[in-house]
Amino acid sequence: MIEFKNVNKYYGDYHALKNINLSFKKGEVAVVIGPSGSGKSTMLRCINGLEDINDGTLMVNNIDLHANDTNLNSIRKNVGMVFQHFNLYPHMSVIENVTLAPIKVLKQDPEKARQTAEKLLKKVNMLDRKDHYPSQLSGGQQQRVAIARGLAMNPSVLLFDEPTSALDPETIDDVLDVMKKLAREGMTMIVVTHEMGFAREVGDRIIFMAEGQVIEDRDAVEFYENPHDPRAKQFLGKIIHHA
Amino acid sequence: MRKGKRIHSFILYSILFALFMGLGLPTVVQASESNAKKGTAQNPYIITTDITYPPFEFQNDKKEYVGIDADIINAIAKDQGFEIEFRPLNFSAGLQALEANQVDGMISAMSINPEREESFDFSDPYYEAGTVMAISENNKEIQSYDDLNGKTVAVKVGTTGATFVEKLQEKYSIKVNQFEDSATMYQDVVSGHSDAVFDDYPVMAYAIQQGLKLQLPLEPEKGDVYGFAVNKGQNAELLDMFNTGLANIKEDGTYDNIIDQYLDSDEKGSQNGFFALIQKNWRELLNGLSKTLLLTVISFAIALLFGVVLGFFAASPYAILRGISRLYVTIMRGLPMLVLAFFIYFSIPELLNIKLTAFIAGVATLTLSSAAYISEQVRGGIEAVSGGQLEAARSLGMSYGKSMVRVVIPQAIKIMIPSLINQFVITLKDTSILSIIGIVELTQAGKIIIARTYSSGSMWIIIGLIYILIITFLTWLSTFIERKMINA
Ligand SMILES: Nc1ncnc2c1ncn2[C@@H]1O[C@H](COP(=O)(O)OP(=O)(O)OP(=O)(O)O)[C@@H](O)[C@H]1O
Ligand SMILES: [Mg+2]
Repeated sequence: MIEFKNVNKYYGDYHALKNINLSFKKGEVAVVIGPSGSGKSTMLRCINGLEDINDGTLMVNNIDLHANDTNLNSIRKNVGMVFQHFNLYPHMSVIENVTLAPIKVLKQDPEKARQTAEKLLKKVNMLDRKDHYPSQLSGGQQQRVAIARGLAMNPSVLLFDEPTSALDPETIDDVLDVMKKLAREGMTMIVVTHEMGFAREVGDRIIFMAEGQVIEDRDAVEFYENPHDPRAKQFLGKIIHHA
Repeated sequence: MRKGKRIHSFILYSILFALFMGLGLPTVVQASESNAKKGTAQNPYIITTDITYPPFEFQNDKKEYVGIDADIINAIAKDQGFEIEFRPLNFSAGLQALEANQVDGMISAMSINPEREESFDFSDPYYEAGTVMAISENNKEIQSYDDLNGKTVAVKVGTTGATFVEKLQEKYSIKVNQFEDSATMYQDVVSGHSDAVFDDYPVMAYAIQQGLKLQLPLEPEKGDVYGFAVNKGQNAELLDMFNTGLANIKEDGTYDNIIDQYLDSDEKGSQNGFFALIQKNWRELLNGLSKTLLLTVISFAIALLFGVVLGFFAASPYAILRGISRLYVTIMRGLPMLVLAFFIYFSIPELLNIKLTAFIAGVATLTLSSAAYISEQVRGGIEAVSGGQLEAARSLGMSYGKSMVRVVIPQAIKIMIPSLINQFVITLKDTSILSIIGIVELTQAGKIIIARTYSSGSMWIIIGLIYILIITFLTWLSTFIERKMINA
């Protein structure tokens, strides 16, 4: 459902994505790892059109993102994104955060949107806080609301950019548990994370990036046990020592 | 963009509306033509005088025209048994009205000179006004022109007094301070910046009588003589009656009484105290203040719309819009407001061949300049709401417009409120600059009162206090509203 073919991306002179070829299937959970600045976020942001690619083709749900007549808003309806810093709307309550886009973009009836939102908040264990404001929630709680917000659009894929790296250790597991639950329910997910426990438990494959290139793209357990590339070996050594 | 268009037309309509309100031209009143006998109660002689030129003509507390000119012609009319009606016009408009036979006579501290004698017939001179020197009340040092050597003297640009001082400079070393109006010039001596001042005797004598803390150590120089004028070849009968009446009132002492009433410093009035000043002038001050507030509110409202549009341009993803906004802000930042006001009031009408009232020019000045600052605050507010907010909304498929309206702007507004309040206060203070193009807002009202009462010392304190009070009150009010809004 997502297909990168010879994709290149530049920031000015800087070559951020170098000839990327990747494809993601429906129901798949892919984990993206790699050192800082290797282009993980950039790759993810290209998928829902927050960044434009310079050449190659990027197809999402059989629509060419780079084509001039592509309406990015209609792509984004189907591609949810969860950010490192949650980015909840601080001036809206939890339930309003979740229902805003369904009401404004999908033109859902507010009552129906609210019912869906409550179901999703229940799924992420945040229903009891539905009338709170983001500033009244912990980081982990905010991130779970952000996941519910992404799910409310009923997307075909959910992208996660380091969803737990800004969290206190004790709240990380609550978020990972929700993500694992989604993975088991068959949600298509592309997750940039260094949580190797998560990767091994629910990840179908691991994509290792360095210097704007995809270096390895293999089964999660296989990769974990036997990384081929020396950079991957070194990187894995680093994050496991840290864990 | 639909919304943008609506904002544009709103601004356009506001400007058109304001133009329409402001261009209400003064109606021209025609003198009634009649063959009935002149000088009766039904058909009085129409006499023009200047609108205000103390001590020759000005309105007293009861809104009656008084002063040396007004009192003399009234006394003569009474003596000769004819009726008059005053039609106050400023000096040059009065001359034109007389030439066009719209009025019968003119008494307006008018010097008799050969050019004027070609167009008008003058009466016998009724007053001689020469230049005189004044010094501070407590100054005992300067008793003659010789004592001016090494001293500083205040003069008004382009007056006989200024010419006289130039002549004195040939003999003595005198430093000259130049002024545009009498009140400021007198104050310069009172406050000790200059040692002496030269001005027309009657104007200065009257000011001293009104309580100005100056004295006249010397007699006035010989100077111009003033005459009553009628149009050439017209109203000879009126002119004769004036001359006869003048001789009569000089003889029976009425004339001297009139002159003494305005110029004799023995009948010196007390310098206007603080509260007396407020009490006598509160109506004018209040009018000035309401003009100030009106200017502020209208300008700020339009500037807010305009500034918000420009602020959105500045924060938009389109380079052209950002460029427009940046260019505008750069120009406005680089222009002193005084220059902008002059440009709008003087250059625009000339370049575009249109008419602009001072009020419209003032509103335009404040609006254009505040809009630049508001747009910067709007841009800052939008940018302060982190890029993450916009991305979060857009990543859910919301359009740029919807994301801005629903997510970014509500947060930006809260951030912007304090600086917008601040900008409102600045706009209010900036209105005082517009006194320069003659808008009678609070500062100009103060200047006018000072021109009449020679009380700069107290008046500027009063004006300052009014500004502080009103701004403190408005700031308090807006903080109150701000708190309500944020808590809501
Ligand atoms: N908007 C931008 N303008 C210019 N350069 C950018 C921009 N965004 C990212 N880059 C550069 O592109 C490279 C890849 O950035 P990216 O954020 O994709 O890395 P990352 O793999 O997500 O790193 P991290 O683990 O630190 O998040 C970096 O060198 C970064 O400096
Ligand atoms: Mg990143």
